[in-house]
Amino acid sequence: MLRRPLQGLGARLALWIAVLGPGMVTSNVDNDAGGIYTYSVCGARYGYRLLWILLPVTVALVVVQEMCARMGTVTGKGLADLIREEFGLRVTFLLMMLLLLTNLGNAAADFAGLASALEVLGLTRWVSVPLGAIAIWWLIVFGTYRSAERIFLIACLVYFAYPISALLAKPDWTAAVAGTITPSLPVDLSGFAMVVGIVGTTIAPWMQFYLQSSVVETEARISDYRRVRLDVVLGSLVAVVVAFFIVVACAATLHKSGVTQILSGADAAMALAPLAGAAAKYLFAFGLAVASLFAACILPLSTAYSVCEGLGLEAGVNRRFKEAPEFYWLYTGIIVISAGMILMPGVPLLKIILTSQILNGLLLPVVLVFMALLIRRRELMGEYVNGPVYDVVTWGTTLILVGLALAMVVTSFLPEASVGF
Amino acid sequence: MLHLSEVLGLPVFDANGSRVGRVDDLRVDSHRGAVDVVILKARGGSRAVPWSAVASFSPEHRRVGLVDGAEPSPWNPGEPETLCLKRDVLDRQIIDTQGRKVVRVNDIALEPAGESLLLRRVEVGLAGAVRRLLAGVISPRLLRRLADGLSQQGIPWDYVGMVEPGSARIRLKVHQQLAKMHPADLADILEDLGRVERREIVSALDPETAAQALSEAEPSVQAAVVEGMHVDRAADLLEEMPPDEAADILGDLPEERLHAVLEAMEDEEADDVRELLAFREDSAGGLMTTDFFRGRASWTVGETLATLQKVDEDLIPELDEIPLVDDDGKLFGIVPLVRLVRAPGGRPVTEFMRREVRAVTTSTPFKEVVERFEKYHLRALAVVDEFGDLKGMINIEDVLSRLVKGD
Repeated sequence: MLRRPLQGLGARLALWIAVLGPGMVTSNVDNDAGGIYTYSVCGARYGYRLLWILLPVTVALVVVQEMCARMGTVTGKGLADLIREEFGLRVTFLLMMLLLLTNLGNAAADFAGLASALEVLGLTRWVSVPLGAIAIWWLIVFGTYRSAERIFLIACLVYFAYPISALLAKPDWTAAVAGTITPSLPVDLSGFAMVVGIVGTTIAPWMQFYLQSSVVETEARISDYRRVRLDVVLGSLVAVVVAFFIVVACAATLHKSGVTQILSGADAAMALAPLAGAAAKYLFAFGLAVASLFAACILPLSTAYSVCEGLGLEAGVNRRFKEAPEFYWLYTGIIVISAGMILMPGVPLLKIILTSQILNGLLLPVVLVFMALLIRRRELMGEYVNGPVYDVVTWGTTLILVGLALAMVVTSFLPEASVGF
Repeated sequence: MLHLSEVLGLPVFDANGSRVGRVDDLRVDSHRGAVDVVILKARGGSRAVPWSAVASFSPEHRRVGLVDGAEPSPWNPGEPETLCLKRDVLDRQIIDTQGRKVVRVNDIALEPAGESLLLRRVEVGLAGAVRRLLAGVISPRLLRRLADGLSQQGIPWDYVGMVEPGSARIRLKVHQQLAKMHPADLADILEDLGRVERREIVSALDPETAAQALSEAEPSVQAAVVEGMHVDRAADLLEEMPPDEAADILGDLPEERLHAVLEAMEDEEADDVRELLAFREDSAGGLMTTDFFRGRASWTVGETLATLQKVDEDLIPELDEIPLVDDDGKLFGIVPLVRLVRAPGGRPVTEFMRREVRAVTTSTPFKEVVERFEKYHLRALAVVDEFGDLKGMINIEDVLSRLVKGD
């Protein structure tokens, strides 16, 4: 009765790529420069000890992402849209400004990632950053973003270098397992910042906005919600598995040989030495550059999109410049400012990257509160409102994050605990 | 000119000067386009005062005064059958029926005229946003001066299409405005709206207009809309569509839903669609329409033209090339309408056929169909089954839209 699906190799390939839904894309962007460095620093500094964080983070990530996907599927509206309709213009405006600020940091982190990746190869940031910025800008304004996305996604396979390298490094599995299942907080105060940073980089606020808008854009229907959910859950798992192996690889190489400080990309690249030997730095540079470019492409886009959506301005890459001037100016502005930040003389690249992840961690509970409030509304979600288990996990995550964020704000005022790594 | 942002939150006093509450919302008589009830937030819940009981109304003096003896009555804020500006319009998506797009409301401009307060414009520009953001933060006069200097983008109330029409009367207004728009514009609007809003719009339109709009929308949007509708309503709508388009939409639905909708459709239309659904989407069978005009090879030109005059209006776009069948229903030839019009009425219609009969079978791949169209400069192509029976027609439009959507 139903029509037979397309046949032929090209069609099958197209189908396979089409299956890489919004969830997969979001997760791969999630492991951007901020992610790679944060996990690397975590592994180098604390070894296997903080691996346990990834377990609750996985649960939280899956739950949060699933909520976004569900809201997008049921309402057909983006997160910023829903917040605007339910909480009014003023709240939305404030939230959008916070998101803009945080994402400027994130985009800057990605340009920093690009700069540090290519500095490993000896290319100065004065070349790599402007070139990268122009390429990204051009891609969106004149090019076809969709085809670029496919290339990026395929290039993201380079992340598999970490699991391989981690296995080759013969990590201390007993310690790794112990670190994964026994929670322990580092005694030093910057440990709070590390924990908030890991949560913030894995469950970044921009992701929720981006994912929900993407789900809406794909016109996902309630009837194929299972597929949407599968995509989102798999995507989340992939993101965390990659994170896990980055930490393990760094713990088994850097931490083991006493390198607890990561000062440049070359340091972080050592984690790939068991796989690539002397070529580790090239592999690392390539992976980081791809991840950074991908994220530097999506972050400004997603930010401009969310802000315009929330403020009721025309937005979208399928609009022309004249039809959506605010959208394109915002997009351009974010790229120019975040790339410009990296070019300021004497800017410590890694510090920018890590600080931006902590900003994420601070904004996240705010976004979660809005999501948790929205998804309870029966007039919005109908029968798809949160069940009791979900509610507990959502509010639990939110409360824990609020606690962590507060603890970190307090500690950052203590003299000896600047957010340093 | 007043703005809703300046009015919300104003303290309300009765004739004796004692405070009864704050302005919480304004209810609108959408027929007159004027405010008819002021809704107050008072101690002990929401209250309503008819507009006629308002003696003075001035944001500059930060107060609303009521006439002597005005008695605010209890008000249910969830009252569905009314249109309230803050609850139903502010921050919501509306349709700019003149600019033919979906916009979000930042503020609403009101104008006092004699005894009434008229709705003038819905503000979607920066000025409205700034007014909302800074209301109550800086002095009203300063804010007014600031906002006046910014870009004012307003949509006259008469051109506002409500997306979530509560009462039947507003529904009627929506219908009248939207029905005037081109189906392609309506389709763009549908694509920009959320799930609930789409459903509201589609159900506010009559099935024929809704069907036209839907056939212009992206396939994924079509399926999403049909899936969200009540089965009977979806069936009504699909019956209005050419069977090939209906089949395309139904083919994207989950099987259970597909059967339910087919069950609900009239038997004749459902059979047409079922037949089409059996074909592969990328074949001539999946592309053709089964709803077309066919002449008989035994007719004269005059007879053919006379039959054409009585043909259903829906088939007009398909009449450029007229297929002729013999008594067994086999394809005999194709005659262009233009030749018929110029031919003397008494001659047999077969004399004016194209020299070659170009037809494909139902299983011909789409790619080959396109090549046929391009090579022979066709505007329509007949589709036959393996026995030569005429099964359907493919129009150049069908090919074009599949090419565009297939990217």
